[in-house]
Amino acid sequence: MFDKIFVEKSYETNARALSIINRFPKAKVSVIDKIEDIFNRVKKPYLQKNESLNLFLGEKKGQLVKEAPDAYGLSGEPHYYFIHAYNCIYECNYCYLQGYFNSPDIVLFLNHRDICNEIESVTEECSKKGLTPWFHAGEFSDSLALTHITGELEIYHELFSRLPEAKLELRTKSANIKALLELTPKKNIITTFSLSPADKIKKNDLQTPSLRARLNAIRKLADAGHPIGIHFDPVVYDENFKEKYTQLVEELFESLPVDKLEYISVGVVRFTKDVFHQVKKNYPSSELLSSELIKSFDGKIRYNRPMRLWILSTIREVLLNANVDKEKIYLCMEEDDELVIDS
Amino acid sequence: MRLLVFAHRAEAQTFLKQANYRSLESKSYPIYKNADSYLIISGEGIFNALECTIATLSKFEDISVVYNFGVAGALDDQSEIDSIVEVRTCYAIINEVVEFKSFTASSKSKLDCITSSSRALDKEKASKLSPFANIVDRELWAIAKASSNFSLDFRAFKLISDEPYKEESKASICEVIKDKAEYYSDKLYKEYLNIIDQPIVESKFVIEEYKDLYFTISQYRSYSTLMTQLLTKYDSEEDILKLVEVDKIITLDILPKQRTSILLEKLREILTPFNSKLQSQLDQVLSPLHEARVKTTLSKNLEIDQFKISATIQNEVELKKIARALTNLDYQAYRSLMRGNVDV
Repeated sequence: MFDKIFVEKSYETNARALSIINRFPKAKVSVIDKIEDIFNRVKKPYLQKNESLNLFLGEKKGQLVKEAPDAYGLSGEPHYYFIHAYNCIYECNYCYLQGYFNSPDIVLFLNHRDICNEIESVTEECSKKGLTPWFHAGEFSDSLALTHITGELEIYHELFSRLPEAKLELRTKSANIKALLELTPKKNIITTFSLSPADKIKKNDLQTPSLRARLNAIRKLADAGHPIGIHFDPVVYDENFKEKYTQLVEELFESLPVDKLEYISVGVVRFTKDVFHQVKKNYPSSELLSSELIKSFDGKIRYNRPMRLWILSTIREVLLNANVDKEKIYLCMEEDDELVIDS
Repeated sequence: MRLLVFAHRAEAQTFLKQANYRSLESKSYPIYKNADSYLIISGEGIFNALECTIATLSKFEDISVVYNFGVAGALDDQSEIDSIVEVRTCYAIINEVVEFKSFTASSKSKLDCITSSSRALDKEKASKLSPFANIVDRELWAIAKASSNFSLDFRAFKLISDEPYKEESKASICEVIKDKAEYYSDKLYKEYLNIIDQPIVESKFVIEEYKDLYFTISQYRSYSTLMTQLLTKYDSEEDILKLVEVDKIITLDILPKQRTSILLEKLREILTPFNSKLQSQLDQVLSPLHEARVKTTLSKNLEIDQFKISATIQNEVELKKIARALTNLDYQAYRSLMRGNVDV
């Protein structure tokens, strides 16, 4: 998987670093002073992740827990994300990471204890105000894809077991639940799966597990009592869109009893200008480029308002027909967007 | 025409002998031309290569692709000594500072090159460069930068002359390279002959065989754009043409150019099915205004409900007609469509 592994000098003998390094016996290991001496120093083309991927191991410095942007998660509560990795082994052709870092190489930060300390202090501040903070892992990476190698899940599990007033969202497109299944389910640790119709996963979520594999993972976690959330995001329109989402919802609730669903969020495909430019460059024959996207009011590339509202209301209707509580459906909308049913 | 860039005359010697190059007048650096390419000797280093390549590309507008041939040192064991490798991405380090910008060649190679402003002759220097690339040279990044400035593709082929990552002390490799220059040039020339032997496959649209259609230049450009986009959704051009019933279109009793317009319109419809339906439903709702010759202008990209109307009133009859049209407009239906309540 990795051609070269670069490990920071201060982590050269760290047990977790060594355990990760041992998983990749063919990779060449180099000791470096700081990750930033090499990672992001030059523009490495994104698609080279398929040919020569490097791994960096070291310490995350600076702010470890950051406030999430508006409309990040369920509304009404403060949302934060913590950074324990940069970049993802998967290759979703709409992913914003292709325009975010200057390199697709994977960075794993190993100072999880420092991150936990910061989560604790944020939780304390929120508790004083009577708020339930949400912490999201996976803003810059998939939360579960590499957990069998990185082994940090139990650290966060132990932390959130001590912080029942805070919630942890593990967001994933993987089916890699081995490490999670070894842990006791906790009400405040929610695993959320991003799903799309099977053909869209094949076309757009490159290198990721199939829909079937993800649904199996959902079933196993739900059977074990782990809380499950779902993201239908990004929704990409095609002519059979409603039928495809109706079938997806049916298949989902064959794996997950509808009353066991914590929440479901729905978001329509959108790009910043830079990411869209990268998509055009990296995936010139992607169906995303031939869909009905426009440059929107804020410069982002998305469907026009009638179309995105129609998509959201159509999926909402499909979910309501499948007996999902309307309080559990979260539509990711722009501030001024309003469905006819809401107005 | 191709542009071939070499740092040293010795590296280019076989090309100059074998490929009928004739010297062109040049005050600053040697430049040659034959039937299908220009060849320049830039001199060693980033700045020489940048100056000469830019000067040549500025002077000769018929250059469509740039090639760099030369020697390079291996920074790891990914390339063998005496082998020729094609470069994927090139990076640069100038006065010990790594340049952020990189350039990627149109190549399937998996080897990257870093262009260094100073010679990399030993293990110590190689270890500083190897995190970024597999081989090191002195010019490529500059040549690629110049090509990029002119929006031209570049390709680079490097003969691995030495292995600094194995050298404990600064080796006298430069002398060895000079001695083997003729042998290196022969090898590079053979590689070049292999490259230019590869046929260029030009793709053509099937539609060109339909003689009952006539495409203006702009119509053909539209067709090409639409078809390229549709081919991301459908398997073949033939499938798409079948879907829009091209066989019926070509039998229509109108001018060939008008048949082409209809074809393009149908292609647009299948490319944007949602918006075609939305537009037709909006037209339906706004029809009372259109029938009264009131022009409607919807918001840009339909991002807000607001729309503008304009009309010319010449007498009271027209005024009353417009008033009636405004009264008959079902605004709630219009607003509902704009909020996504579309029948699809």
